[in-house]
Amino acid sequence: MTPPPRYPIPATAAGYSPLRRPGSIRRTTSIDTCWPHGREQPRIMRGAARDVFTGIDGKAQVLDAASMDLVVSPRREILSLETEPPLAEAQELAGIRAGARGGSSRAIIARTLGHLSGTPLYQLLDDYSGTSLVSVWGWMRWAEETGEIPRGEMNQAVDMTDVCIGHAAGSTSLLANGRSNHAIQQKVPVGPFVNPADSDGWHVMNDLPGPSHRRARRIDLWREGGLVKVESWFQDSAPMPDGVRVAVHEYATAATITAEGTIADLTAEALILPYTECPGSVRQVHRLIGKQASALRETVSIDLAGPLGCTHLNDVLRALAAVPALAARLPEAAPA
Amino acid sequence: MEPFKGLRVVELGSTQASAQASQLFADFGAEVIMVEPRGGSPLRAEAAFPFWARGKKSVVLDLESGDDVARLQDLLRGADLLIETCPAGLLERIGLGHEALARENPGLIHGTITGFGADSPYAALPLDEQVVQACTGIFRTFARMTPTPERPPYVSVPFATHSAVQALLHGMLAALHERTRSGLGQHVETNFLLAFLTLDSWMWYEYAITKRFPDAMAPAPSFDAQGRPCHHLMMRLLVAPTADGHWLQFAATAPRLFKAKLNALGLGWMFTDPEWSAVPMFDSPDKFMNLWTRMIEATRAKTLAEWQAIFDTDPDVFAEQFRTAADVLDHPQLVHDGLSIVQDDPQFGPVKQPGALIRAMSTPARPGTAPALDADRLQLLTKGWSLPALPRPAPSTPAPRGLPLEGVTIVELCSMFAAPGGPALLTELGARVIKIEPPAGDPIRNIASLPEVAGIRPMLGKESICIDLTKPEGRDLVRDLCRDADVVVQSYRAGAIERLGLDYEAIRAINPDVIYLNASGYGIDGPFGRRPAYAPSIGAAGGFSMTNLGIAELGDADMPLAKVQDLSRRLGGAGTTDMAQADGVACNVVATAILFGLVARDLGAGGQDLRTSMLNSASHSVSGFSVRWPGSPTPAMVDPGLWGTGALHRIYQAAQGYVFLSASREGAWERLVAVLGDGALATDARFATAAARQANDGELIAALEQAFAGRPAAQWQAEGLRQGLGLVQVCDRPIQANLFDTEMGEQHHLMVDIVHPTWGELPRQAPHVTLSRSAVQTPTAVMAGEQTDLVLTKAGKADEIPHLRETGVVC
Repeated sequence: MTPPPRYPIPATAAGYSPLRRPGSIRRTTSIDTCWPHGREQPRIMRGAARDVFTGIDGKAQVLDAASMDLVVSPRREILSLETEPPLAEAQELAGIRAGARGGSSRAIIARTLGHLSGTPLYQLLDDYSGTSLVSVWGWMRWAEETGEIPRGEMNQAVDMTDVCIGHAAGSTSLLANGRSNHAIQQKVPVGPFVNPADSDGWHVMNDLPGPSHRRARRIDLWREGGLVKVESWFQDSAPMPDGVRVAVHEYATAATITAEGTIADLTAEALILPYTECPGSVRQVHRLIGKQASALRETVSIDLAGPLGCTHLNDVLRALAAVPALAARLPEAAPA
Repeated sequence: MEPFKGLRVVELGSTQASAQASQLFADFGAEVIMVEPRGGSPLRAEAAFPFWARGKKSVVLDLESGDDVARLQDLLRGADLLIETCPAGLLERIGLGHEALARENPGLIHGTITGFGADSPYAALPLDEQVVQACTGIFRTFARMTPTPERPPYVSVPFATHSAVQALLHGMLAALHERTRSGLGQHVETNFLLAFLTLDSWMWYEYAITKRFPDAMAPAPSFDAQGRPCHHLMMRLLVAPTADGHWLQFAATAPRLFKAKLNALGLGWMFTDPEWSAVPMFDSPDKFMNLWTRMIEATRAKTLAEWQAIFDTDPDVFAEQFRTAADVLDHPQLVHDGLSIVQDDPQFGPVKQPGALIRAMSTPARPGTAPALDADRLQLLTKGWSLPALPRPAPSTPAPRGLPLEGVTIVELCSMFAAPGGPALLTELGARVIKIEPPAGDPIRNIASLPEVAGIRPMLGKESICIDLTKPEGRDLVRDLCRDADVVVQSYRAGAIERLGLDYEAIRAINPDVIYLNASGYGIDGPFGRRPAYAPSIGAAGGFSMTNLGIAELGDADMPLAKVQDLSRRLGGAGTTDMAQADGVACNVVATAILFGLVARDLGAGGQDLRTSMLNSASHSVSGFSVRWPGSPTPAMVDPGLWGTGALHRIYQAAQGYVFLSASREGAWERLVAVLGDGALATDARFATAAARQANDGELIAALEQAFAGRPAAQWQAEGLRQGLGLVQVCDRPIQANLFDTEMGEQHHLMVDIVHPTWGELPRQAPHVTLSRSAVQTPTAVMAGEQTDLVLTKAGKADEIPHLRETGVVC
């Protein structure tokens, strides 16, 4: 097979989140991960999420909120789980493992908590799998600085070939043995994304101590001419020991959803990505146009599977499955 | 999605070649700026203009003005592609040579089409299809279409233009594919003469081999001097009228098809008659003549409707009707496939024209309408390009020098030449082509007079593996090979590939991003999808024969037999020669479609189901004669004697030999007068202006006939070259003989030595397009199954080879 196309590596963060639009709903979610006892010991993953309706007067009205505290083993098993609102099924989720073949956490969560689909809590749990995969990158930022691991190396014995578009066979991102070439991975210093002009723009997040990682996402939706317009944003970042925060993935998307819940238009923008092949991901999202938004969690994993898509952009797109449920809470007529 | 959206193309040159090359980009969403000279492109006077210019923008820039050159430079700074057919040296003179352009825009892919190549002794001649045809021997190659005695005719079908357009597209699309990895552009060059050779099915190699082994076999001519057929192919490729005056072209080359045809003609008894049982392999012209006469009379015994009833009952019996180019757009298959369209053009009204060259089922073309002259001046010169530039990766250092299609794998499930010729061209650019052959080998290998000769062209550079597709294990093996391919190409008749379980849906299920090209004769469904398609039938249906003969009517069926036979010989010869025919025209488009798929996938379109057909490829190549709109000018047709289309685009008899004159363009008349040294002509009021010359065309022909008769053709050519006038000696040898036996082949770097597995050292055609940075290559041809073990080993199946061989799955 021919090697994948290459692109300029994007390195421009979006900066502050835009002000909330009157007549819109905004969902914000975050998962912060830290390793209080080192990488070989369980990590803590702390998630928070909130849905806010902004009235014509600009006032925020919280529609829903959720939080979770997970303890996760180095093998990415959930050791313990506490949520708010509490989950009757919490016990059933203990012990599940992200990325496990045949019994992946996402499939089990979908089976067990399907009735919660569309809620902020479901979004946090659905994100646990992808976040637990990426968050180790946050730990590495410090480990490299302290000399705990050689720069650009991680003892991750996984052949990444064709796992995603950025690692498609023949990519510059792959070493000869199929591992990611961390040495050439781009990291971009970023500032805060919470807009100081809008104290209600995000739920409250608290930085965790030591090596850590943050996955943050925002989804804004509103009605326009009988359609639902959606803008979303997503970032994976980590603080360096000197306090500067660097990001490895940042995407923005724009979508139009019909009254019937069909994706009428969808574009994605790569803002920060690690390798020269990665931005190819945004050129593939048109494959989802014409599909049902509520089915995105299923269709993304088929239509943008493996080297057709980006694991992280797929996480961005999966989250849009909640849009029809959120849109149902928007007032029927758009504010004048 | 529009796969080329955001791609920026500048078209410069105002020729059919530049227009048709950039049309592919415009049809699929690119922003194409047609730069026109003051007064507009000469193409605006042609009926096909709204087709050639569709979906483009127009800006008038005068390349003699410094300000306008600076404006052009601005556009090129932000462009992805420059497609040009400028006169030799023009761009360098105004500071826009490739190196200067690349300094400011290292990602620019600059494509150039010339007539003969930049260092040819003919480089100064104007770019003109017939100038190239005349002096290289292509006219002479079509001698069979003249009334007897045969002589070089004017050939109207622009075979060289078509192949050069496709060759340029191959180079530029390959360069675009390469640029998505390297970030760098380059200069892509081809020329009419070089690209014309891609149309050759086997005459090049037959000539080379008989020249090297004179005793091997002298290839028989198709007809002898008395007009008697001398070759079994003429029996298979029968041309004859029906009882109600419709002319049919049969194409029963395969034994199975010939048997069915003879039965349908009521001559099936011959197979068991002691005198005739060798049919059609005879060695005497009289016997051929006898059979030919019987076949013509048997065809004439039935009406078209009666013949069509036979075609409908027996899928192995089929003949095409001869059509004019204009009628091609009414062909039921093109209509069915949406490849004959009517666009409502604001300037011209409803324009009947061909649809897209390639049917891309996931990203269909959106043909637009033609721009008014200079319509986009304001936007282009104030705002520039309308969309942001496509992202390019940072330029690689050092600049890669490898093959542009390195890493691309194509699995080919095709036979004969029309489809396999395409992937063979792409091996020059580095594609790996796995050719799946039946255990007996592709039948084309032995279709010519000498073994393997007809198989050389389509087998160049491939890896051949013989697989028995009648066995389930064989089909599984092909699926395994397709799983890791970038491209799968198939050319079976409608329905067959589905029965094998190797159709697009089946392959996509195991290779979701596969580019799957159905490269069929007619289509994979529709009224003609199940009909066999060969070069002569498509040459008839696609308008080649009637365009070349310049006739709209073929006459009554009750004409005397001798007249029928004369027209039969001429019609057959006008549509198809070994050096140029519908197969070659189609295979070029097959290569273009594969590269289109690759680039579209690079740009995010994903894999998809693509379709080309021989018929649609032919239709595009004769578009100059087929496009119509209310009040459209009538395309200039060749006269019945096949001399030319008018006094200033015509063959003339010289004192020795013939000359061809091309002097219809601006400024050419003055040069002609200078070359002729004829003061009287210069001051003659009848010829004082272009309009007057056109009005007095007959008188001008008479005057020029007299003038050219005064000196030998060679002298006229020397004088023409000095003055940069399109005046050349008409070559009196067929092109293959001219290239091999005179200095012309060497002079134009057309030959590269290879070692063929059975014929040993042979010259093959040089790469049909060259790239300034990326490499091209000239691999040799392969035998059936020569790489069976290699392909299996590369596929990780080395352990299975003994089992697969023992069970006859591979050989």
